[in-house]
Amino acid sequence: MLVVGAGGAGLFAAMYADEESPDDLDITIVVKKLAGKSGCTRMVQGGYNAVLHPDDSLEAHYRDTVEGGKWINDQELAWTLIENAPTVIRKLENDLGVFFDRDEDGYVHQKPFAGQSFDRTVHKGDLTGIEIMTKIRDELLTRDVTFLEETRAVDLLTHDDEVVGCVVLDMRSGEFEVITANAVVLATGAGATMYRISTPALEKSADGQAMAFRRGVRLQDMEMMQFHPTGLLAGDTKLTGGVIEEGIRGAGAHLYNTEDERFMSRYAPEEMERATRDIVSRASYQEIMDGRGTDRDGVLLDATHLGTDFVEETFPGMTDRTRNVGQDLSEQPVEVSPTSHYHMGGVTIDGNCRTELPGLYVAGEDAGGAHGANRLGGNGVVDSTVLGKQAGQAIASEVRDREPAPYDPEQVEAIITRVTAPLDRSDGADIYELRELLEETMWEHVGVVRTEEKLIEGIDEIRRVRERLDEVSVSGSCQYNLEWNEYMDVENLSLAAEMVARSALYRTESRGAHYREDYPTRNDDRWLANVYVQRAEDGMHIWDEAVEFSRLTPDEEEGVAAAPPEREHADEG
Amino acid sequence: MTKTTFTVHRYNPETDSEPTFESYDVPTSESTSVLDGLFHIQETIKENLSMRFSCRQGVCGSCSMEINGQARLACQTPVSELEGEITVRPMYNLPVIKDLVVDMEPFFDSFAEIEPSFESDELDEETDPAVVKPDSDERQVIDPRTDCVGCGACYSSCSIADENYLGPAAINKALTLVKDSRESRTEERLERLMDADGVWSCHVQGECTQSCPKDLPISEGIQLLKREAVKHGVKQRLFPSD
Ligand SMILES: Cc1cc2nc3c(=O)[nH]c(=O)nc-3n(C[C@H](O)[C@H](O)[C@H](O)COP(=O)(O)OP(=O)(O)OC[C@H]3O[C@@H](n4cnc5c(N)ncnc54)[C@H](O)[C@@H]3O)c2cc1C
Ligand code: SF4
Ligand code: FES
Repeated sequence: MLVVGAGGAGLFAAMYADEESPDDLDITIVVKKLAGKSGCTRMVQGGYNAVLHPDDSLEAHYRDTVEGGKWINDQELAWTLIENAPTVIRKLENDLGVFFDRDEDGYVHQKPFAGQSFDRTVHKGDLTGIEIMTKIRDELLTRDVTFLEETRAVDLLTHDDEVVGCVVLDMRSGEFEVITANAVVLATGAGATMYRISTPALEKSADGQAMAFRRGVRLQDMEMMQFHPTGLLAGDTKLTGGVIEEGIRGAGAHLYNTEDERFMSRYAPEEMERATRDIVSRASYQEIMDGRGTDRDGVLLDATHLGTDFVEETFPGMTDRTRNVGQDLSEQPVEVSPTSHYHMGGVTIDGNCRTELPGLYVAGEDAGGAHGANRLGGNGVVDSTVLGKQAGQAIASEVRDREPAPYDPEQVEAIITRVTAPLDRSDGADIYELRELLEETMWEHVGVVRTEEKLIEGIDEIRRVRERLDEVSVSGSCQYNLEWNEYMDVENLSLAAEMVARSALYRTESRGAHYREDYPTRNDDRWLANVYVQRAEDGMHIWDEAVEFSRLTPDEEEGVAAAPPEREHADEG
Repeated sequence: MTKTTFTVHRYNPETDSEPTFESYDVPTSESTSVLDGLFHIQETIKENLSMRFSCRQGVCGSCSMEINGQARLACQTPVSELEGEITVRPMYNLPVIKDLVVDMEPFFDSFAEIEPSFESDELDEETDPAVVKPDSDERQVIDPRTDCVGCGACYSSCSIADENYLGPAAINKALTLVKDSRESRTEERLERLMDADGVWSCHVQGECTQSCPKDLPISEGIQLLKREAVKHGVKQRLFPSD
């Protein structure tokens, strides 16, 4: 079994597969960076939603999730997440030794997050991700699992429409290798980094989604990209886009435009800055696009009226972060912008992470469906760990005896020729410029607020980026060559970007994270549906299918009241 | 914008017999970090430099390197905090792969050696998590030590670190397990830590604590473990059958 990616989804898949099948399953994990020290699960600050308290219920967590997702979640998949979350929390604490924070009475502490009808977010301070990833890495170090670090998966190998393995590149030596496998799990964490301003780890570039697409697997709801309202703007530092946690708005911080106006009064006069993520993101984006933003295209987040000491004591991490870039949250307004954060869309899977392609499993942020049009804070790490578990267990029981067919050397050859082409060219296009062009295009044309005209222009521009990839040249040898890796990243990112833009053009309504200025309302009559995209002879085939309400049905009243009640606390994650 | 000179360790094992140091002029502002400077060299000056990074916000511990002689996280080191020219080289005590990238294997091997996986006789996936008071002694000792990002800065700055000594970070990890009342393998672990290359190798120079970007009380942790090890040793002598 081959696991691609070592975030929450990848490592959980490996651990559970090993547990179910300790003796007769070889498990190899390839990871683009270091194992457990890369990806976004590591970066989780806020926490993990799970029903542990007797006064809470799986049904309540489920309803919050489906209402939050604006009713286009895959209902069975969402249920799988919610049902398994408490088991995974117990696994983390009792088997892996994770130490979550405690109430004074010594029980696991659960804090409130936005969109929840019960305080159910389990956490370890605001470094929950480090704790989880360190412990699972420690666990796997003592098991019979092979880690190939700084090894990137390049493409899947298929035979008669079955997955038989993967071509990987050892980035340190620059050598390609074929790994054959009974099953491959893609867990590369999607590519919210396709936007100019974004929160995730830098190496995430939709590799898994692009690999699946190239082999004809369908993806869904790719237009659903979640933006977090307050990414720090700090000029050309790579820290730009990093999250200033929403708790600070919960605590009473204000947002201003450059005309000194608390602009939320125009967009959400009652909730003001405490309105939900999508509303605040949209308002800020509009101000910036209308020319009332700062020189760096941001708005101002002001917490100074709360008192220097209060801000410093309550949000030490955030204060530090701003000081590091020459701004000081406790003493001055800081520049923020919406920042691309999480991809709800992804490969279509069933509750065991199976795709349409035998042998191919997808887990974590690479997969779509569980969160519908909007993910609740705290449900992301549930997604990666629970789906990892599902994939690992399913593989252990389903493919143990499957003999993969032989791979096709011509397919391997074609893959290697494609990705090494830029090394053979000189004086070609510059990959970093293309990356910037792609990110700008996504930001301007496929951003927080979308229109038909802009989307069409955006798609043209993305196509041009993709064509110009054929002119890129890369210097140096194959060994640890970051420029060459950037080329492979942009190739995948631009493919996923086109799926996002085309799906956004297709969905002619506004729902959750997807806002169309030309279709500003939610249209349940037409669009209680998922948008699918699949590779076709002439490019991308796009269609939609009605959501199956297998567990909960949106009656009219619920439909209208779908926005979760606004709460006054942290909404991180 | 001002200009800052970055002098960077370059080494390509394919072509170079010896490492060299190259200098680059990098435009910097108040918000520029050392990692940003390196990105500038990579993306704008087009030097095809090899370095390691992931989160760019001090969480993954991937970007540690020696900056003006001190092991630090490049993404968490503002250029404005340093004076004059900046010299960056790979971490000490670890083999260099290329330019600024080191092989972390020896550092992580010592984690594997302390058997870092948690084991409990009483708890499992079916049981409720243990009740542990936040102000209990174990939490007080464990909490500050779980923020370790595995960056290796402590290892780079330790004059004793080599493939034999377990090293500061692994020993601190062991302490979090030894102190954990839920854990069942305390005695076994203490045995291992009492070996010559365990806690007793530490000469208490304290460089590790100074360089830790997460301010872990590392040196103090090693001393705490020495005490635990002594207690364990005495107990073993008095009650050998245990
Ligand atoms: C700053 C931040 C804060 C967050 N806070 C929260 C929170 O509080 N609560 C919550 O629920 N969610 C939160 N999230 C979301 C959450 O982190 C993600 O939902 C989840 O971690 C995704 O897990 P994953 O396993 O799918 O991917 P990741 O954890 O991102 O892992 C991806 C892995 O794939 C590897 N990889 C990528 N491409 C390749 C390739 N081609 N070959 C090999 N390996 C590859 C990467 O190196 C990495 O190891 C946050 C996200 C961010 C960015
Ligand atoms: S103890 Fe500190 S310096 Fe050492 S690896 Fe952990 S975070 Fe880095
Ligand atoms: S890049 Fe993650 S700690 Fe610096």
